[in-house]
Amino acid sequence: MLWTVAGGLFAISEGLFAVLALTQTPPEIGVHILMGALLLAGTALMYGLFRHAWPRLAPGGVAVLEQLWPLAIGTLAILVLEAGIGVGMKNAPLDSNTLLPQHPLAIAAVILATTAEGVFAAAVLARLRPLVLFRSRRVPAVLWTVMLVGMLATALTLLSARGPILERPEPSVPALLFAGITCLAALVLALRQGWITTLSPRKRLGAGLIVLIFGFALLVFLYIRMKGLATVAIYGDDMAFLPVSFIMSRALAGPVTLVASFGILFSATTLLVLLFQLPTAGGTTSQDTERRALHSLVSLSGGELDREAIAKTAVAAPVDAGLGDAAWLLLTHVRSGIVKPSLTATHGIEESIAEAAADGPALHEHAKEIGSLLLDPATIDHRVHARPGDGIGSLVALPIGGDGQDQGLLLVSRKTVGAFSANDVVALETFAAQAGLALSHGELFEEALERERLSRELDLAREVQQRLFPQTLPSLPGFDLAAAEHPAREIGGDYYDAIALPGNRLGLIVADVSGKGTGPAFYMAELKGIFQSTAPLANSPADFLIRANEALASSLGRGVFVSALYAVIDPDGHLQLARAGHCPALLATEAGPRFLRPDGLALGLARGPLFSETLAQESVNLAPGDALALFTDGLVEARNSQEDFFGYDRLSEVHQAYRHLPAEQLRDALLEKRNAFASADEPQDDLTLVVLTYTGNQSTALNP
Amino acid sequence: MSNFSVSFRDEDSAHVLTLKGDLDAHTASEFEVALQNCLDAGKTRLVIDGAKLDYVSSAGLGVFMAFIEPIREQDGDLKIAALQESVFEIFDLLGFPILFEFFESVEEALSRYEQD
Repeated sequence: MLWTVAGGLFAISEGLFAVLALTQTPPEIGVHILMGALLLAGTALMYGLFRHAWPRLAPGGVAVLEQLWPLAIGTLAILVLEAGIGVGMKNAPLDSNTLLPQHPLAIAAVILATTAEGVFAAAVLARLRPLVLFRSRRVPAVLWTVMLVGMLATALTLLSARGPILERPEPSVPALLFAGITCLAALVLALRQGWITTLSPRKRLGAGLIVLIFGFALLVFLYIRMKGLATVAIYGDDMAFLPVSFIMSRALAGPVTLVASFGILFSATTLLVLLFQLPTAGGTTSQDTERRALHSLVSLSGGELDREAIAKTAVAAPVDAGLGDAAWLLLTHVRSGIVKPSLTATHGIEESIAEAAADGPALHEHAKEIGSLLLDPATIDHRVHARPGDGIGSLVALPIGGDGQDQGLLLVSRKTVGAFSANDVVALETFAAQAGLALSHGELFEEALERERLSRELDLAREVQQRLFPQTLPSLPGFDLAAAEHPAREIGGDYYDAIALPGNRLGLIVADVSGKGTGPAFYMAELKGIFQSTAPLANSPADFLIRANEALASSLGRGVFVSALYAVIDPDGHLQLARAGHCPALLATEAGPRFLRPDGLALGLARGPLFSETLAQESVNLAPGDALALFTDGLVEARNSQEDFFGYDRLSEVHQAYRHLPAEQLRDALLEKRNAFASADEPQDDLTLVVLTYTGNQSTALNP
Repeated sequence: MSNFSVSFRDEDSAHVLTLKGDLDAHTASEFEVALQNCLDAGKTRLVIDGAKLDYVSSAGLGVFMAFIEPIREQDGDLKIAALQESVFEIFDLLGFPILFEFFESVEEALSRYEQD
């Protein structure tokens, strides 16, 4: 939108001029001033717009060249334009009285030239500003404003300048003053060449070339405006020449000259600085190198925690910062078992070449000892196998390690021999140290993630296991039931369940899966599902176990088996029991203790008929007061410090002795005796215990 | 913690693996490797001498189960002999005597092979 305003200002001014020229009416002083003022305003506005449109200078020097090229090209363009206009205008002279062009084409040419100069001046200033004010503090910025104001002030004093044109008018005192201030400021600013230090040697060459073209073109531009091609002939008394740019208004021409002069000054200073600072083979100033090292470190501190991303940055950053031509990284990864440093990332070099270029492990061993290794020339070292075409003239090997850990080796190469200065190596060492830190941080983070994931897995498995056990035990008449489960430290494979079956019968199951960990817990969950759904439908305990064996057959892997014992008791005390490879059940009666141990294979050991053929079933009639105990081997296999087992004998003794207690107390007594026996130092198995005291059917008690 | 070892000896009718120590989750893999070596070498008529086997856990039992089918598919067998009473009890509880042949002594097991 504002561009339209700027364009409008130019348009009005030039429109006025066109009218005046066509009618050959010399403008009044007021109109003349107005035209000049409009041009100045338009140019100033355009400068502001250019400044905001063009981005600030990016670090690293890449964008600098992109900014410079347009300068050179633009100057050449305007040079050609003005020369062309001047040549064309040779045949279209000004009227000596009105000093206005007569031919419409000449009018157009003048307008074109004036507009072009205005735009050019604004653009050049805007383009040069970021270079001049690179990393500046207040003073240079103020000086820049002073220079611009000076240019504007000079221009304002020239607004009314319309004297005899055969001689150059004496510049007025104010004009000289303002111009002088402008030139002083311009001089100081032109010396600001800090932007050059961000460039690597190669980029400096490019910059120098561009600036040379730019500066030279400006010189020519100035010359032809004043004296040469871009002047217009005035016929009349004497052949005289007037610069095209003066025709519309001298006010604009003034600043344009000042801008061009500033540009020339700046270019000259740049070229001088480049000439004197241009590095000899390999040498750069230490400040330079430090800046570049810092720049590469900034890339690393982006907070990357991903090992691969860090590796990629670690090889790209030194090359981007100009500390090397190519880089590759060899890393160990102890957690994955990679003890020998192996190629992890490359930049500026093909993987196959990097692999073969040097004996990484050998260099790594040496570099670990002395801190960093400079091989120069690289190829004469016996550990470097690079061939001439690989582009490895000099090589730096840097150990990568953080927090005292050794992580691997960073190799940075340059194409030519003698290309690394001592400063370069120091910068690379700093960088390598930082890379090592970044890697070890990433490592720690990964480990923490892993631990959390593992602990969550364990928590999940424990939760699953807890849900396997019944939350409440069924309460049926005639039965007093109690249970306990104590998984060992690892997630165990024990399971028990109690279910009320049709006819007020009670079904009790205890099971034990081979192995420990999250796998067994999930087998148990499956068994629970089978039990809950199938037990009520089974005809007998044996029938259930046969169905369970079939159902589990496909899930259980080879070598995995589940032992289980299933008992069904009627309200009148009739007990049926089948045992699939599990510990026997223990029954305490008036007559004494007795183990119920019918034959049977554990689940998962045999598919097909072998299981059902070899599975037996036992039946017993319980009397009131009888106590039944179902358990897993953790109860009897508890060890003491002499490595004796608690055993079946001790168990049956205690069970028999306390059989008259209510189920809960009987259970506690058994557990107490077992725990008292067991040594806390020995690893113990999962413990599961179900105790049933048969209190008898009311009706049978009353009606024996 | 657990000392466990497997040693071989060749007899006319079969190959004998002598197990010593505790066969549990930590040592089961060693037993696995030994059995796999026998299979790879074509030795499929095997007798386990368990006289010095002090303990076997479900992991150890799992190894027996894992190999019995491949062995029998190659017309061989895995017979178990001379177990200590407590160790035999562990096998017996699970019903292993239904699946494997158990003998009081290695000689009996060997002569059983000769009969086949």
